[in-house]
Amino acid sequence: MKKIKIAKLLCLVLALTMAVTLLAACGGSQPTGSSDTSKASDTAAVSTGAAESTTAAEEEPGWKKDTSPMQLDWYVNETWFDNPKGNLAHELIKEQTGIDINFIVPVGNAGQKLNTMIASNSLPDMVTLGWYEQQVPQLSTDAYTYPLNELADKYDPYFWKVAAPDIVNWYKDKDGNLFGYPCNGNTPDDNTKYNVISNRSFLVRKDIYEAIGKPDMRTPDGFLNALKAAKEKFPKVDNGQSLIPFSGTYFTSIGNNSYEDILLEYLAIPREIDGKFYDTRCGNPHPEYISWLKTFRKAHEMGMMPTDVFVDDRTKIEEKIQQGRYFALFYQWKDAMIPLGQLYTNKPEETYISVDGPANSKLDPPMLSTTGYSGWELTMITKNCKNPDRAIKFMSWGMSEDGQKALYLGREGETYDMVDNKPVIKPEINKMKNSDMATFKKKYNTYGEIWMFNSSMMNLWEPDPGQPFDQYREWAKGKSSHYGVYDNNRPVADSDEGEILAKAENKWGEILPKLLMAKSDEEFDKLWKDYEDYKTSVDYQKALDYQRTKVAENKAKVGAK
Amino acid sequence: MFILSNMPVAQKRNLGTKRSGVLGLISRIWAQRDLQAMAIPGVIWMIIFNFIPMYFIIIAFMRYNVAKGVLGSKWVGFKNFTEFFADDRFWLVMKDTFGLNLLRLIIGFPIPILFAILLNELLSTRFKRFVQTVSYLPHFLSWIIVGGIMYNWLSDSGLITTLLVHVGLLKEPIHLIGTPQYFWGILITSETWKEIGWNAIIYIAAISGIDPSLFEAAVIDGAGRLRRVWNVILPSIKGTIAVLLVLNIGNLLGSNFEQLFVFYKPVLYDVIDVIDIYAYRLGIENGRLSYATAVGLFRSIFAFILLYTANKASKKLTDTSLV
Repeated sequence: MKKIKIAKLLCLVLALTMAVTLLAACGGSQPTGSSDTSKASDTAAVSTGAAESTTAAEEEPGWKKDTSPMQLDWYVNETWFDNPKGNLAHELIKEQTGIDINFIVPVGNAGQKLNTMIASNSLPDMVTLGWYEQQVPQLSTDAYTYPLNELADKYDPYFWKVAAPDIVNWYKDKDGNLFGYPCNGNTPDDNTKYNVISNRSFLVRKDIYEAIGKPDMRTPDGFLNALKAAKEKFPKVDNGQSLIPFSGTYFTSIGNNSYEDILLEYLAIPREIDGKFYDTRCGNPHPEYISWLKTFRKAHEMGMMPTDVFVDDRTKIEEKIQQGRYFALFYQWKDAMIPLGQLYTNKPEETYISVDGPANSKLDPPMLSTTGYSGWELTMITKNCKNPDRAIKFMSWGMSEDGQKALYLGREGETYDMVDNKPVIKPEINKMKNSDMATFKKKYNTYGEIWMFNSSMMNLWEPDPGQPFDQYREWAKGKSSHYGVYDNNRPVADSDEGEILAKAENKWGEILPKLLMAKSDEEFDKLWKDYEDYKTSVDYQKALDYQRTKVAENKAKVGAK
Repeated sequence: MFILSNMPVAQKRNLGTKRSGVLGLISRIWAQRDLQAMAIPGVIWMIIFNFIPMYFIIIAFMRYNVAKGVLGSKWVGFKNFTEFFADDRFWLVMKDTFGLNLLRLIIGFPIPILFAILLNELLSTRFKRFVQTVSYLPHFLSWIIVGGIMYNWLSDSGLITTLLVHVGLLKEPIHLIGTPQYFWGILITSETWKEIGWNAIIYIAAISGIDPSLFEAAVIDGAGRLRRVWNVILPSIKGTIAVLLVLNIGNLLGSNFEQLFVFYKPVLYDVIDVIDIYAYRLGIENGRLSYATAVGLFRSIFAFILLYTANKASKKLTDTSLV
């Protein structure tokens, strides 16, 4: 017995010793950490001096001054982003700016990876994430990222030449600081000037659509009858599996775009009803919208939307697109270019074509969204960046015509030629991109596939993407609408409004599949009412009011009514 | 105790110093330094992953903001807890957690014991080894892989679905895994299949530790196979079973997060929302770390109470307990 007691005592002592040594170790590491930061600020100070001495020669782009080789770690918050090293675009960046980019891409849940990096202060030099991500407000502070305006003033005034003033105004915070610059930022004028079109599409399989007599699918009855006819005529697809008459995109924990903003835009329902803003998810109250949701419910009841539609993720859906397993598909075609292109190459007669989809009872043409002022994803320079001067110069490069050309067109003679003073991408490159994306990415990866600096300017050089995509673009022409002022209305996650909105959205994510899978319209109505009650119980109006105030502020920023 | 009794190296170095007090302790530690060194990584691991995070439990009572840190975040008291208890999904979460885990306990716990006993009855050692190895191989597959396989097998055109249709158990092919009412069954079957061999190992070890003379005596007394199982094997491994049962009960509120996460789809939320998944979805996914921590803390406290009670009960009933 005594032996045991001693053993226990020993364990205790050991644990204590360990704790003490560990604390000692922590204490030891602290000074090293701080010396690191002081070193970083030293180098910053040195380069500041350098910048000041050269302020006179302003007009010269900053990136041309210093092209010494350097590596830059860049986190891109999208699991699907992929840039095989050594391709042309990557090499051109190295050539023109001296920067060798090391892209870091999340595996699994992107938001979680980003949260972990924020929490552990291990953000790399640069970060790119959607402006709509909940981490944006947090990252847009001096604690995490450099204000781009300060960096630009200090190291690279050329930045102001390449940044669009409208978009800078849009993203400036109260103190006039700009923490990130978006790709694909787009003003209403750009829509017409560059002929910007929407990616939205309602796709149907061409052979089936023609076999059932090209029905009008704009009305609920037309839609349901077409699905029924398709299923009756083509119960199975080529590989022997059953045809899925209709599917939207994949469901997430907060809903499904196909039955939210995409549907609203097809129905030409504006974001404001009677002058009041409503969220695109969380149950838009417009009667036409609700009646179309009921139409989809009916489609599910009729067996036109099997369970796959509710459980498949993006990979599964793309696999099925490539097999031509869907008849009708409410999906953004740009999100599925690889499978759509492959299906076209393998079986051109089974290709998907874009046709008129769900419409409102007046059969108004759709009002499809293009990107707004907010653009798509923000690129930020983090406080962990050792050479913010090089990073801002690199950003200026990417946004400049030089950078745009390198990232979109590639190298003259290799990927594009000048015809009548206009750059034209070689047809074989275009063909490779449409039919063999993998090789294209490995060899070139131009075309703005490294998209963090993409802008409307690239539209000028855009070749016809080839079939089947030409047809999608053709269909979408003239149907663009600018919803820019409704972006950026999200409360921060740790405010009352933010918590309420998150709750309402999560509940919407739970309820949306149930609404669509409801056995009857009565059940649908009951679920809808339950959701309305839930929103009241969490005081949703408070979050909505916040969003409405934000929308009003946004309008003031760009002078819209 | 373990360290002292089983270590010949230490014995060689004259452990027998009878000195007492601090000096004696130090000299003892010094005498066992090689062995004590081996424990250090484990202790460090415990401190880093189990003790330091304890400090952050405090964020359960805050509206924690990563940027502001623990010291800068706003204190909200029990708000996160009351919010969880008042949430309209609270009872559903409880039902899912307890229901799933109770079924797991009722089905998943005895089967490995049965399997170990059956395996023990095999006469051919070679065959026994083979079966045992094959049975625990699935344990080494990650749930991501098993989930992927099941996803394909149980979809509307999958292997198992097609088989069930041919046999006549299903009228028409349906997406089994996307159908909420089948989900628990699929979950428990797959987990039992995956872990049966692995969980049986400890019982096989316990059975092989039974004194052979007991069996011989039983045979001489004319006991058949079932008798031997009932009167020799089961009483001999009673302690092992009790300890493992207590541990399992402590885990009643836990979950196999990985496994559930593979099948995590909005259609299945109502049958899949166990505490951990719920905390992940409404807490972590929305950046509400405090809420997730509060829900997690509630779970831990509840689990501790369960474990403690089960342990007490076990001590009373079988005289076996964890501490």
